[in-house]
Amino acid sequence: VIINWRSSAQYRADYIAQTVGFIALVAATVTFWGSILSFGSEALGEWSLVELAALGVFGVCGCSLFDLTLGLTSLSKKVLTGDLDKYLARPISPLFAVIAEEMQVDEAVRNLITAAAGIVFLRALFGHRFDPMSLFLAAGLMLIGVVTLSCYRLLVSLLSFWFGDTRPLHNLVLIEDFQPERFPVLLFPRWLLFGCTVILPVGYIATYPTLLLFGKTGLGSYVPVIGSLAVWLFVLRLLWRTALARYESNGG
Amino acid sequence: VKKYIEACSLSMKRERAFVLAFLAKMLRFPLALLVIGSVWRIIYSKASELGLTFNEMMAYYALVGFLRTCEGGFVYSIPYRVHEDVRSGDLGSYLSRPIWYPLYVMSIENGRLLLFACSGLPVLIAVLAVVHGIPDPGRLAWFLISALAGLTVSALTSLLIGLLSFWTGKVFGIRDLVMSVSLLTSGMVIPIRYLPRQLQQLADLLPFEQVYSAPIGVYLGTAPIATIRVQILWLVTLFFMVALVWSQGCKRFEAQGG
Repeated sequence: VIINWRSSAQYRADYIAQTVGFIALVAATVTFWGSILSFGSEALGEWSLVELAALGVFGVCGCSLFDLTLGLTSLSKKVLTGDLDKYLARPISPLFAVIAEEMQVDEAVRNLITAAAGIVFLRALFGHRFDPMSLFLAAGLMLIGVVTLSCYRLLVSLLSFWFGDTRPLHNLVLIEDFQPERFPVLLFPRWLLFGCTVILPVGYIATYPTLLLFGKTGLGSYVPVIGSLAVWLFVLRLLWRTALARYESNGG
Repeated sequence: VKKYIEACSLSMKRERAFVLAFLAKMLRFPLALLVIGSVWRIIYSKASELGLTFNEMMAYYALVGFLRTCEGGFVYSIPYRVHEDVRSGDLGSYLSRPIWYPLYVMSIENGRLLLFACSGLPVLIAVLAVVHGIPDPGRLAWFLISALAGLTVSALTSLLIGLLSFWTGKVFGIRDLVMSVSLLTSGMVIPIRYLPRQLQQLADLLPFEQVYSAPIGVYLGTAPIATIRVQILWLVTLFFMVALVWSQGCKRFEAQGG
């Protein structure tokens, strides 16, 4: 993690350009909704412009944090080529090592700082005062959502112990298709809302944290995602143990 | 020309080997449209006078989805490929061959583009038939010509970003920044006509409008077919810019061999 940070810190201009790009992404959501709402309605159902802007901040930040576990997608290749030996032979957690090896920590730090700046900007632009506790709870909910979504990523990779190369399955469902930084999942049809809340909790990246931030939902919104995470962790722990028992490599 | 066609064909074969990943891309197309459609239905129930009907808007996003599939991520892969070749010194092996590297990179990406376009077209026609009525063959043909010009503009822009590797250590920050700006100014996220006036003026000055907004406008009839002339003008301009940057960049390139 430290090595990754140091290597990124060498290219400051590139880092600044990426930060500006990140801000532009959030600005795109605000502009999108600002343009739409200028056509006659001040709000989209229960969603006002400031809430939709906050959705953009959470969405872009959550998607970037989700990218931290991108290393899990390469687990499949490591299993098939026998490279998993490298991690199993060392006194480290193999899964953490796989994730950490490709973790873009600099990106995560930058996005968290920019997200905080985004919240300050929203306060200045819309004059909305955010309760620090709500902000903390909303960020926590987003983090749990990101971890739960990463479980799906791990599940697909673990299947490679049985079915060979499963990397294409990572492309079958991409969270970018749901545009969590732009669209509140509550606007989706009921069956899709269920899918985005329970099965693949995309809603916990931005929609529910935004609702929590604005006091439109309570701590009860933690219950489904924590329940979902508990089930995921239980299943994945079981799968990981079974998968390791199947793992074979000749070394070399 | 034969060697570039060969590179294009090889790229198609390589991409076809990942059939499952390719099918996944095709399957996601209607799902993404469903998500967008459910939100726009609510927007249409609240807003007045959006200029396009709901069905036209759905056709707009179906065409955006098709163009994005054709683009196949080359906005990310071209700068990455060029950057890696320059940084690692692998560019030296291309310089010693009787090929022009920028055209070689474009040929590889065009192979992927053609494959996605050919296989995505039936899906697009089916989706358009559902949301907007069976496509008129003439309009569809003009759209495809305009799309090809627009996507080449996008590929040349990406190539230009990649070639900056001759001067900068990394190009990914610039790439991401350009991508973020192009989200709004290309019409990918929302039709440009809905943007504030200043942003519309900015979009007119940048090439990204030619990638999404122009071909879609040609299909929907909101832009004249003569728009393709503007696309070709951008294409030629960017081509000369690539040639200039390439020739200057090559002078700075150093590799130890070994």
